[in-house]
Amino acid sequence: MSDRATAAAGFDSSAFVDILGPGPVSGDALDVWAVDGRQPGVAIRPPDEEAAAATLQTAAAQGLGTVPHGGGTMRGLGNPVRAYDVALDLSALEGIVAYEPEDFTIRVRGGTPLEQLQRMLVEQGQFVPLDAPAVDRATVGGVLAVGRGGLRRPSIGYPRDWLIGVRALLADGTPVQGGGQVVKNVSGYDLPKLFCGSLGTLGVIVDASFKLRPLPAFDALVTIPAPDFAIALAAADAGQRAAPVLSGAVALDAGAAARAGLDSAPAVVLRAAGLEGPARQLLEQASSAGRGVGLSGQGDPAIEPHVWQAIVDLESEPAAGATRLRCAILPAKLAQALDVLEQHFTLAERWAGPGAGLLFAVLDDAQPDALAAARAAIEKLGGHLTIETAPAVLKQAIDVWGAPGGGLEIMQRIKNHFDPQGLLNPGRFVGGLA
Amino acid sequence: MIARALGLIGRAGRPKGPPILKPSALVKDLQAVVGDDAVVWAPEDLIVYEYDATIDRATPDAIVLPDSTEQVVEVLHVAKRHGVPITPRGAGTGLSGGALAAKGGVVIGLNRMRRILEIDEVNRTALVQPGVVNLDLGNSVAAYGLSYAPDPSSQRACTIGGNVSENAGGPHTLAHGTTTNHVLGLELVTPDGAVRWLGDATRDAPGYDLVGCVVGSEGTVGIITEVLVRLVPSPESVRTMLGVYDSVRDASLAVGAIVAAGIVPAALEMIDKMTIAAVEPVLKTGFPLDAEAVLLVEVEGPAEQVEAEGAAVEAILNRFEPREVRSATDPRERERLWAGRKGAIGALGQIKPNYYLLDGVVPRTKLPDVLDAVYRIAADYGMPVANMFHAGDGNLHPCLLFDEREPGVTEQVLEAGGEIMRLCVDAGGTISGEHGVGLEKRSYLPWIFSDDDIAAMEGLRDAFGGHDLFNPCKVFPSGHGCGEASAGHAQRTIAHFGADAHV
Repeated sequence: MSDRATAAAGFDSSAFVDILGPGPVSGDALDVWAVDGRQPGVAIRPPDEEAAAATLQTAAAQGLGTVPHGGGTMRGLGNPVRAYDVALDLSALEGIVAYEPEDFTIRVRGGTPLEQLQRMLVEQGQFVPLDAPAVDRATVGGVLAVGRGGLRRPSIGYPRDWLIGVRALLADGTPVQGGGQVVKNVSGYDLPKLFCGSLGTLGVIVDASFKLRPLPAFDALVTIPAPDFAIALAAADAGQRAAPVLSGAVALDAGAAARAGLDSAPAVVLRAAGLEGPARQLLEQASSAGRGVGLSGQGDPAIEPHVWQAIVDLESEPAAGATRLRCAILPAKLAQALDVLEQHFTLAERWAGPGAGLLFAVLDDAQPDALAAARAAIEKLGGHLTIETAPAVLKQAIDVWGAPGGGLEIMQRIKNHFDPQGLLNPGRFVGGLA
Repeated sequence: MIARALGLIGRAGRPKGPPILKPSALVKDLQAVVGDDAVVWAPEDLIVYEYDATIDRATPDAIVLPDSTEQVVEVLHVAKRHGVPITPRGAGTGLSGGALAAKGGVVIGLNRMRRILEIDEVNRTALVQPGVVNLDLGNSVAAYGLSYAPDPSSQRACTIGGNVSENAGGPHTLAHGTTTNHVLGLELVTPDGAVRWLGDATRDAPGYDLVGCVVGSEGTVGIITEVLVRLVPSPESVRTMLGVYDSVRDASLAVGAIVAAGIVPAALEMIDKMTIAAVEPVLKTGFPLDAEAVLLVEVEGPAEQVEAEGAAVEAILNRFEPREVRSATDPRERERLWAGRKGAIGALGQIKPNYYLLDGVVPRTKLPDVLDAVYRIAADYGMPVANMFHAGDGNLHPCLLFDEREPGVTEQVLEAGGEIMRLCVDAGGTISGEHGVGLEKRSYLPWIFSDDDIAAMEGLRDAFGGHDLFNPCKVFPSGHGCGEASAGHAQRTIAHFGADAHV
């Protein structure tokens, strides 16, 4: 399928004004909605779910390509969009629908920033176990649409694990619901799993229900400088193995450490949560395992959640022109995957969570051939290489996702059922689903 | 009923006794694919496969016991050629009619595919065939200091394939989640006969979460022929505590207080007086017969944490005027404390020969009120009810006890069951937490989902390519000619409450 022309200049937004009034419809300053350099014809900020449904219905009636927007923190993710007429700004759909602290469940609108949600939960001594970059802007709906686990995934799992119910608008505005507000539920198919991680290609998440966890009594980090990245990586790996219930263990090279606001030197960051005594003991076990593989520095446990957040924030957009890679790999193969990347590229930044099986790298210069070769080598190791953000010209030359495995045909049929005209984020997701 | 379904594997192949039956063309074609000894078709043998662990019955035309993915594919082609549906079956311990061949056709029994193919100690995964028994997997990985977390009460018999199909739970899902949280990938034979691997050990395969869609799809989208599961490190220390109470409400308040204290136990279970009455004579657990509720709490983790949390839990249990509180960390002692809970269903036969086990879920804080109403409904129908449930999850398992030989009683039981499900829905909950919708609850799906929701789910099923080739009459309220016993009562119950969607 070739790109459809977007008539940005003479775009007729009158149908949207007719149903929504002029307030939510904007034809100005559309560059802030650009995706891979491409601007929409109109940006619409519906005030509520009903207006969002009407927007989608109107867009579908005219066959307009639509990109749903949360906080825009992962806007670089995905292949170039094939048709982009409408930017659907969901930021007005925010706030709590229902919160039952004693049941440890919450139902929240999709446009709610994650930090706002967590702040409210903290008052009740609770949290929803999700890590996402730029939590002040990242929205619940956006985090779910991306739907990936992060560096703490050995301990807190994945967004899908905490999502108990979802309400989404299909491409024609039809609301669809799956799951519910209880923590255990096998009634009907698991639509929450389907929408989570579908990158807005099947529907627009307008509200979501989560199960919650009590805040741990103690949640601390140890940051230990390392002589080089290889030792940092070995130490993080040894630490996670010595203390499997550690919340997370990350190795950073000097470039990544600097951008995360640590000293500009390679480092290991260990995190443990729980009762204070056992958590301190875990950190000591992990640090000591690190010393066994060449770590010489020391660090004291400190309650510094912002340091961890700064590391997670490394996954938001880097400097313009750079390319960021995310490699998901079995923990036992992570060192080999690093070798692959180092063979093919000069890496400006590297950071990794060995227990999580995640390795990130920022490259200043990447060629499609080298990316394809590196991806092939990593897929041979059983891993996946995603190009998380890259200059638009590079994205025209290589698929950012890599091999989707055995289910692409089924995925396309799902897409056809939920979005028969191929209007939601067309072409952005794996295999160019549209 | 479970025993009847599990105790025998039907004699294969050869017809016995007069009149001498000839195998049908379907049977002959199946025999050509898997061999004579792997096809069960004589009428007296088919009876064994009429049941799972619930009320409905249905007779298949033949049962096939393939021992490889290739054979599954060939069986699929034979069934398609003959235009008959396929129903996958594990151990037949399911509690929603999921393994019943509601429209006849071929049952694929996966019990011969029971090899553990690989245990990866470093990356903490295991690759297994669908017929592997849940507990066998757990025992096999224990040597590596690892556990497979989902632990349905039937874990000595139930299979991983069945667990995946139903998204099975168990007492320890409170801390660890249900089966869906532990499946990384699977091999699926789809209706077109293709063998597809979905997902992988990185849990980061690009694309839609098809694994998450297949788990809990109740055998309606394909036949699962391999499963890659996640293993978790076995806890350093485990402590089990038991509190005996004079009122269900006190026990419920203790549950609330434990949760409010910010403790997430590995398990938090309750059994009521009727269950105690069934369990005590058989298992000699030492529960006082006049106690109203027994609470079972387990905490696990690093030793120091377990000690601290255990002490906190014990203090809370003591705050709500228990008759007694027991505690154990020794595995054998812990097993004894668990015996009354895990053996509860089996012991119910003490009271009545049949039971109808429900699986509603409500927000946990609604439990005391909902339980009161469950007792009221059972009393209205004049039927004993035993409650054993996952109190921490708000997942109720009322067991209505009856004798199916009494005329008309089965219909009454099903009607009372419908009322209890409606009660859960009205309390903001749902009709199934871990057993599946299957045959018996499908008519109630519109109580929780709109037509559009159900259409989306059906679209998802059809995207796998089969429509109703696999396990027809399950999950969805549409589908006709399924002839289940539970249909008549469902229509009456729905007529009583209305078919409105609860949103």
